[in-house]
Amino acid sequence: MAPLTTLDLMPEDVMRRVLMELDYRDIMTLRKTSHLLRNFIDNNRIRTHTTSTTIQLTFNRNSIQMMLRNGGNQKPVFITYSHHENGCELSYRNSKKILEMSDYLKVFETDFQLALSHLNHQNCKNSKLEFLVSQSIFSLNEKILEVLRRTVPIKVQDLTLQVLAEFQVSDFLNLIDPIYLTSLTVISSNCPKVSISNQIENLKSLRKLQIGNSITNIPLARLTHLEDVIIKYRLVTFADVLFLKETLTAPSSPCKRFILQFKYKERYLNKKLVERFGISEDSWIFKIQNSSMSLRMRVGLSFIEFNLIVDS
Amino acid sequence: MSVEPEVPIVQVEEVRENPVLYKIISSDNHVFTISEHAVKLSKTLWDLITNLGLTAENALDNPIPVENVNGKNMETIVQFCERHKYDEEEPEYTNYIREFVLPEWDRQLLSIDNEELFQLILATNYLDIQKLMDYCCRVIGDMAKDKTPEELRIIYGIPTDAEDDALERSASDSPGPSG
Repeated sequence: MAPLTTLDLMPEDVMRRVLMELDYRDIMTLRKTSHLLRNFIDNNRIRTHTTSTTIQLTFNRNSIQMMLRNGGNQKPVFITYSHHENGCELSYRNSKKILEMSDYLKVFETDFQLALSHLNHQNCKNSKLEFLVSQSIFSLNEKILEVLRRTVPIKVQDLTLQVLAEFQVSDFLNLIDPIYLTSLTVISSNCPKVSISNQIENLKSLRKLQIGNSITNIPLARLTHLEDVIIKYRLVTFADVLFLKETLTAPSSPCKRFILQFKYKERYLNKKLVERFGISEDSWIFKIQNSSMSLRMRVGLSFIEFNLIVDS
Repeated sequence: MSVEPEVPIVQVEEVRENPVLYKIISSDNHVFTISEHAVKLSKTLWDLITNLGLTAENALDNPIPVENVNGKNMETIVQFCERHKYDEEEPEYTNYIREFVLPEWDRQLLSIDNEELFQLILATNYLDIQKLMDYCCRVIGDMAKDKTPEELRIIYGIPTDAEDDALERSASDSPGPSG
């Protein structure tokens, strides 16, 4: 009798097309049916929802949510891995499933590694990773860190960290391959200060830095080689403004935008600016020598913004 | 009294119908007739017809043998191609996924058991019929929604690794063609 025709005996091209019809969770399930299919799925990097360009992980107490999205327009896929008394509870779309005797971290690790392997495809182009630590926990469980450390070095272009404590920034940054990282965003919900001067030094490819909510004390001189910076200082002085203006109007300056937010500004800062650069309501334009660009400096109530603009 | 016009009433379908017909013989010697528009949906068959130089005059005298497809699958394929012969051209893949809705008629046509469906896919793959391939893959893919690995093994007939190893062992233990 001729052997039965089954999915795993289909030509590779056919298998690929069938898999393109499935979404992330179904592919992950199919991957568990046999070694042959697992190898096929992993080796072929099936281009569906699994080939996400954005992975977002939210760490909660006893659960991790993974969000996968391919490009900006596609609908994201959310999967939650939770600890359950009988094993791992998996929530996906509107359904819940208990994987008996399974550790939720182990199940998460397998899925995360696969998602990462797809993210790393195509030289990490437009790859985005977001680590969000939920407010409901104080710090990341050491076991979660161990799982994450097994995935190093993570190759990603754009990293967003939402942390509760400053040391978590280092914890996450240590997982990342600095060669690929061009954009870093740090949002801290309740840590007043983020000083990542030393780490910035190591991020040689970084071009964009954004630190939200917290005050930082990274010396300005360490940041003016970046293209786009948004940070917050406790106090901004006239000297800081002068330094940024001088550096950013240098013809070789790579910086296109520098936004310095502040809690307080030096007394009489506006007055000094008017004395130095002439009367203006809130913005000054400085011509950059030997180029068709100018630097616009705008001073608001709690920020100073430098923007490179094309001469009209 | 009104006089009926002598001009024959021609159905729209007939006007569009191309009179050129081709004959196909399946692996089990069933003979099928298929119209030119329909046969064009199969890249393999149309290439063959073009290479053989078949024309409206000699097409029916030169049946095309298709040894890789049996009569049962060929019947479904001919039905499908005749149904879709005037469809607009397929949109290109966007982001490697082709967006389409599977029509009810086709879902009914493809409501066959999995073994037959896989056989039909192999035939479709060989005859290179893009739309039918999309539809078959959608039907196969829909079966996998929200299933457990065990359920998928049964649905798709995937052997467990242990069964697979056993099959391989028995295959390697059995005497070869000369043994």
